[in-house]
Amino acid sequence: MKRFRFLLAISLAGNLALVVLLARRPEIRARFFPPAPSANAIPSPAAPAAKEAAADPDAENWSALTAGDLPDLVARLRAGGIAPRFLRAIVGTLVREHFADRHRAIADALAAKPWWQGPLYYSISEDPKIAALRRQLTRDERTMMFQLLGPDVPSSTYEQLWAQSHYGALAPEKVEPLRQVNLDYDDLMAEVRAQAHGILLPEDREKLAYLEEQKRADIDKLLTPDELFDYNLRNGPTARRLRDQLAAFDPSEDEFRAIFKIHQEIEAPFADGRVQNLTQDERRARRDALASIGDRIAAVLPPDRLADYQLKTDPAYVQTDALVTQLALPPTATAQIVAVQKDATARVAALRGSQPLTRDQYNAQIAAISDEATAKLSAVLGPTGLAQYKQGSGAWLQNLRPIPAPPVAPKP
Amino acid sequence: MKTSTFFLAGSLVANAAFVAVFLAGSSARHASSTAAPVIAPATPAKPVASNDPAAGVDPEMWAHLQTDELPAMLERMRAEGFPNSVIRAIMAEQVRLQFAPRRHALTDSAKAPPYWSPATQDPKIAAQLREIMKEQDRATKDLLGPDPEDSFATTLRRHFPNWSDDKIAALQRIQTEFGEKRNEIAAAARDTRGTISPDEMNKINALQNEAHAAMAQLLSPQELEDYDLRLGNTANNLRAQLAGFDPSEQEFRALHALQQAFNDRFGPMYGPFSADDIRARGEAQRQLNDQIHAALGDQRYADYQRTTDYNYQVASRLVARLELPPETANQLYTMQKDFQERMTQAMRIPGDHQERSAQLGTMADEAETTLTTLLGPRGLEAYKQNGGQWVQSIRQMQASLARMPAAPPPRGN
Repeated sequence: MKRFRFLLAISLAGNLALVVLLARRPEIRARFFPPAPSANAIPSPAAPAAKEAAADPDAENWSALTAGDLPDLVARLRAGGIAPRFLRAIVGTLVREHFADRHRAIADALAAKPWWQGPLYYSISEDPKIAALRRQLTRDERTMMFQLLGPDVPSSTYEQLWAQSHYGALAPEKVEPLRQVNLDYDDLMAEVRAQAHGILLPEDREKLAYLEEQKRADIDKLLTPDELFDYNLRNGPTARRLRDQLAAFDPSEDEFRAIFKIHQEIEAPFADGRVQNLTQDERRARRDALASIGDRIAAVLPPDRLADYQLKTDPAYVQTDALVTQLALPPTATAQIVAVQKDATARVAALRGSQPLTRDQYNAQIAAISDEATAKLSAVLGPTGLAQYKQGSGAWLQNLRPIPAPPVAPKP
Repeated sequence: MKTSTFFLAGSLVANAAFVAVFLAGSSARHASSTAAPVIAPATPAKPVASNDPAAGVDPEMWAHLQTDELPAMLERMRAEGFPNSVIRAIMAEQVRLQFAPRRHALTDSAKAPPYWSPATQDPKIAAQLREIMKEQDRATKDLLGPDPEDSFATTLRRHFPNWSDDKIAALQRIQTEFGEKRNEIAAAARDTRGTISPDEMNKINALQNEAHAAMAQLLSPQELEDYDLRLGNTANNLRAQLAGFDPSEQEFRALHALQQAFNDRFGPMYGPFSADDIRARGEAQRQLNDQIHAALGDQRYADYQRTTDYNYQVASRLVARLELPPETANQLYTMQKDFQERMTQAMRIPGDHQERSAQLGTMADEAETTLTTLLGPRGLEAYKQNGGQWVQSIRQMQASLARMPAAPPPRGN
């Protein structure tokens, strides 16, 4: 009896010691006593890792980290002192693996076409059903990443510079909701465009206009009027276009703000300058409205800057300037070339508006203008540059061709 | 007695079970690689029922794992059982982190471009950043080997399941080497001038030819042909171009051979073109069309011409969106050809510019009336912007002629 009690006591003590030991081996505990699945809506993404762990008897600590759902893993990694960039790298990989079946299904669908017919990725000819699956997958992955990690905080210098140039002095707590509003609506609008398959019908334009309106309303709720002006000044379609249009003019901040304000007022009725959402008639109306902008700009710029503005925002100047830069010519060459163009174009217009001329008279004068312009251009651009110019911004030289003789009726 | 025996037996079974569990863990631990695990204890003594998944995690866990000694860090993660995909993501990030000081040294001095100027970057800094990026990519590759999920390798395996891993790795190297050179030319051009010059485009084209020659050294003629047909530039362009033509394999092979011969001789060409260049190319294009006609036969060549016409392609999509019968696209195409022919004829007929202008005006009115019947007013407006630009062309020609000086008197000059 004593022997029995002794053995029982030893055995119970041994059990207790082993339980304590096991409790201090979390990796084993995790293997044999996995915690109950989390109630989080995000399903367990650890399947691929679990598969590797099962095949690899050394997968103790990874198994421990990945026990449960992805939010559990994120919590453990954060508690373990991981830097955000590594956390994002790990979670990004696991999220992609979580959706591996859907990636594979899309790849299989693309590969199902015979090789001589496809696949046609990311083109207008891509199967719309596959394109829709791809977009939905991207959205789902992005949503899961956001649910798990929250917003992606700019870490590199470039990301910080980008954020500074887009949001200026906007309070950080407003930046993320603003980014989210943009992301959500841009996503919806991209969907409308994708479904239109390159053909925007009136109902698509209505949908886009509605989404733009809702997006604007949501942004209005987030920002004060001053913040909104500043935001549009940096991010609106009018500002984006103006930045390029005014590049050669090189405006000061005050000049840019003044010119932007004028443009914004004129463009407000035209989808705030979102030209791609306008019908042909609306585009014409916008063009007409913008035609008178020169007078208003003249009122905000001093004469010397106005002259500079007029020269350097002329599309002919902008296009020619790109070629001058490409050919590494002196910057003054642009103005010289544009002056030749303006002079020749004005002379041709005067010729056409003058007294009726015979074809030979007209052709003789056109030839003189053409020869003079070509000689001046050649002096500035050189022969190779002139050849390139004729195929690009120098297309106006085509207007200096003589009028051909009309066809003569065959004699009966 | 019976109760004591029962308890003892139960306890001994429990002893055995706990020992087995403990030994299983120990043997797995001892059988692991020589690198000692550093994460433990990840979740020490955490109660099973705890609601906090991070309870008890060592706050220094990541610090124990991370080191600037990349091979050691790699080995530690392998020892801890991290899956390869996760190791690759972490190590790529670690390599990036090690190159970060060099990047920051270049970019810290950079100021945010003012919001009123287009975002541009100093070309010299851009070139140095590209060089750092290349070194970083090489360092990652040296550490981890080629990425098995690399899209080019995946594509090759899918198309050529019988090709060896060595062959695929060699093709990857060719692709990487020439891709780097090509990107360098394109990026330098963009950073300095914003555009790629014709001369640079020709250099890129020459690099592609070099890459192809290198592949020819590696593959048998049959393998090279298979590669060109499935993944070559000519084949890729042709597939996109023929999307609506629905070619058979035989037709695709025939068209590819003809197009490849044309491209080898002429294209792609980048200006400036001389008049002789343009003439020679135009003549070769006509010959190519004749050869395609001969290869496809009359009916299929007509299909080919129609389905590869840009306006037809756009009109087909419009017809589908308007939910009209598919043959409406054919009617639109025939109508377009008819009116364009009539416009050409009208320009050949002797007469005054003003008379011809009026003639074209009548023609445009007729076209719009017919199109309204076919598509409805809503469809007509959409068509004018999508494939029906020819209607606008008639109107533009009409307006242009109306502005021309009057024709000379019949006596001549």
